[in-house]
Amino acid sequence: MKRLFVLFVLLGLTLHARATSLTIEITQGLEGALPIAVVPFAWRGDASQPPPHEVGGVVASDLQRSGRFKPLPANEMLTRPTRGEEVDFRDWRALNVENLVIGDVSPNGPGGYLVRFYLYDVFRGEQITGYSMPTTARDLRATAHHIADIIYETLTGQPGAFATRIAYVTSVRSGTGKEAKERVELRIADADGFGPQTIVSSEEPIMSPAWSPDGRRIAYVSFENAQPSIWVQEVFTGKRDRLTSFKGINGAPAWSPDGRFLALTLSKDGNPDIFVMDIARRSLRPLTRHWSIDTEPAWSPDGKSLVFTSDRGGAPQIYRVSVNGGEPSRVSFEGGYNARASFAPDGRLLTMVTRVDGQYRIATLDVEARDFRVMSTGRLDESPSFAPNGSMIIYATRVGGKGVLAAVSTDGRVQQRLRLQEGDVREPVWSPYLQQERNR
Amino acid sequence: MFAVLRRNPVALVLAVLLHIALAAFLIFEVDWRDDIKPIGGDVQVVQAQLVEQQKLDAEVAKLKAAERAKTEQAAAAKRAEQQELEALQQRRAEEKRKLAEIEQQRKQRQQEEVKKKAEEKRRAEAEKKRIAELQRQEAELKKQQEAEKQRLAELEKKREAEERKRQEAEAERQKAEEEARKKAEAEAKKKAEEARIAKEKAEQERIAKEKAEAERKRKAAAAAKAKADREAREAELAAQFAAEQDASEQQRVLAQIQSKVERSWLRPPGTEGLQCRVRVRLGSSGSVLLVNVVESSGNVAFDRSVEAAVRKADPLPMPRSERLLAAFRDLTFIFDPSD
Repeated sequence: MKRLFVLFVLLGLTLHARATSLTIEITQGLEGALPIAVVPFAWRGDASQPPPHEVGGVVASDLQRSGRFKPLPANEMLTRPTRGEEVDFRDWRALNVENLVIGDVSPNGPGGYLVRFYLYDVFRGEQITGYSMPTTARDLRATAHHIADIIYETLTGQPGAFATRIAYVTSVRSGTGKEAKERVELRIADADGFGPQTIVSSEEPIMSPAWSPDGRRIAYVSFENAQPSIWVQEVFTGKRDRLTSFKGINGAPAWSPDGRFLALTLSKDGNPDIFVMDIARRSLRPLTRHWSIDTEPAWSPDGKSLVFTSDRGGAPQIYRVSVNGGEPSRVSFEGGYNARASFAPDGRLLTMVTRVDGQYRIATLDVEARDFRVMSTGRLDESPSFAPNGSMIIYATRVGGKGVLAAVSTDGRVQQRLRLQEGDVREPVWSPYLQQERNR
Repeated sequence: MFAVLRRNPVALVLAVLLHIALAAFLIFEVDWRDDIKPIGGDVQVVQAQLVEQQKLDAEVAKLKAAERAKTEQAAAAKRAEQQELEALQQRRAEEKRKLAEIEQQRKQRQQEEVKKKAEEKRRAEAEKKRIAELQRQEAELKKQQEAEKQRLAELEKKREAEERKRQEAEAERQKAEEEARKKAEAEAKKKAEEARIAKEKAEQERIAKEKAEAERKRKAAAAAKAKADREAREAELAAQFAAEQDASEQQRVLAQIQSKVERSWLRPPGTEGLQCRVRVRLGSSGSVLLVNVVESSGNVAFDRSVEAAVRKADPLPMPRSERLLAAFRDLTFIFDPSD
């Protein structure tokens, strides 16, 4: 009887299988970065005059920094194909590499280059995508970042944020001895820290840079004239306007998502509160009015609410308030100190500075799930901001008494310092997608 | 003779009819001629008497008148009689009448002789003589008639004999025919009987054969059924065994596949709670031919990792059992890291 039962069950299974096919459930998988190989791009021109940057290396570095990819070191590659016909997928399968990028750079007129690349699915054994991109020596790195963006978006489904910029404040010591002077500079660099350009330089402090949503303007606080003022400066022309110069604190500007308003902290009435300024009209309206310190506002991506830091509970914590004002509600509960919050592009995650065992570190908070994670390991990490695709957080950390740029993938898996900067780096902030750079 | 007659039955009948006709002719013709002669003689006799006895004219006349009257009367009667008998035997009836007439005349004459005695004696003598003659004639006639009769009888006898002979021959023939028929019938009957017996025998043999065949078939069928039953039982047991084998092998191979795919699955970070279903076509050696996402997780990286996991696990373990192979060539994987 039991045997018969087994038989029937198996018959049923077989019939079922014929109808629907056998089903296998896979629940265990190693969570990890995607193994990819980016073969150094070939130079097709004069060997004595190679391009200024190795494109493949830039791409691999970008991908690695995202935390989503694990590029194969070039010295572990069995072969280094630079043309499609040279690719033997078995080589890459043997190395368990899932995707392969090859490419080359050719001379393209005076000072011009033509960059070609191909992305392959190793286990499917087919090309996924490929582009041919004309560029110049100056934009070669940008082109490499574009390639990284394309690869990132193709393989993850999310846009890449490698061809973006960061702004940060740095202190540069010039001269020696008694003549030594410290200058403060507001700089813009590629997202990987390369190609820094100073847009403002001052002997007085510069603080709180903030990108406009279109990436064309930066608001910041400058102490020039010994009085803090909020300025808005056009990135490409250098043209700037002073927006506020009230008595007391003029700080922490934040752009609304539509770029029409600026939230800021003013203490003109004696106590720091959050105000919203209509940029075109220069009109102000208070958003919070409390005896405690309210500062560091940040807009939600939908523009309907803001978070800010307040010590109204006795210690700095993150609160949320409607764009129309009203009673703020507390958002952060873990730890005795949470400050400088900003939203991820999806509006779900907040990143902020938190104090853990007396150390200031970067944390993320899932607003809905109330999932709080500490992401960094420094002692005095500060000023976190999300990449425009939400995949990474850039922040400043101190190494050897100096501020340096660091990045952590949003899942916390990859932490790395960006290229060591000259001087003391503070308050990095990640740009939005830059319009002209999104036009591929 | 018979054969000739049998061949010509018309001739025979004609011959017989001719004979009968001749016989009838003879009978009636003789009668006819004999009748005429006596009548003539009678008349002559009466006239002679008249001559001789002239004296008696008156008487005679008287007689004659009476006679005439009588004769007329007789003639009338005779005519009537004749007419009466004409249809049947006219001639013979006439004669008889004449005889009766003659007898009457004789009696008259005797009466006359009584009256005239002398004369009368001679005349009586003559008359006697004539009567004798008449009697003789009559006898002769009778004799002739007798002879004719006899002849006819003989003829009849002969005819009868012939008839008898013919009948006998006929009977003989019929008998012979009958015998031949009977013999033939008997022969046929015998043959039919023999045939019937033979047929019956053949039928019986056939039945016996059929019976034997049926029996043989029944036995063969029973044997075959027993064999089939036994084989079916064996097959059932084998199938059960195979099914159990298959079930365990199926489970084993499924577990192997699961393990291999899980080992090759590199899940993108932060994808807990996503689910992706892929349909996978395999070659008979387990090589991955086709991976189709049938239910996307909505996350490109997760879906890609799922497809890559299956492809990286190539070749997948396959069952040794041919019965299971087909089912394993079409697999569905559900990637669900939330569990």
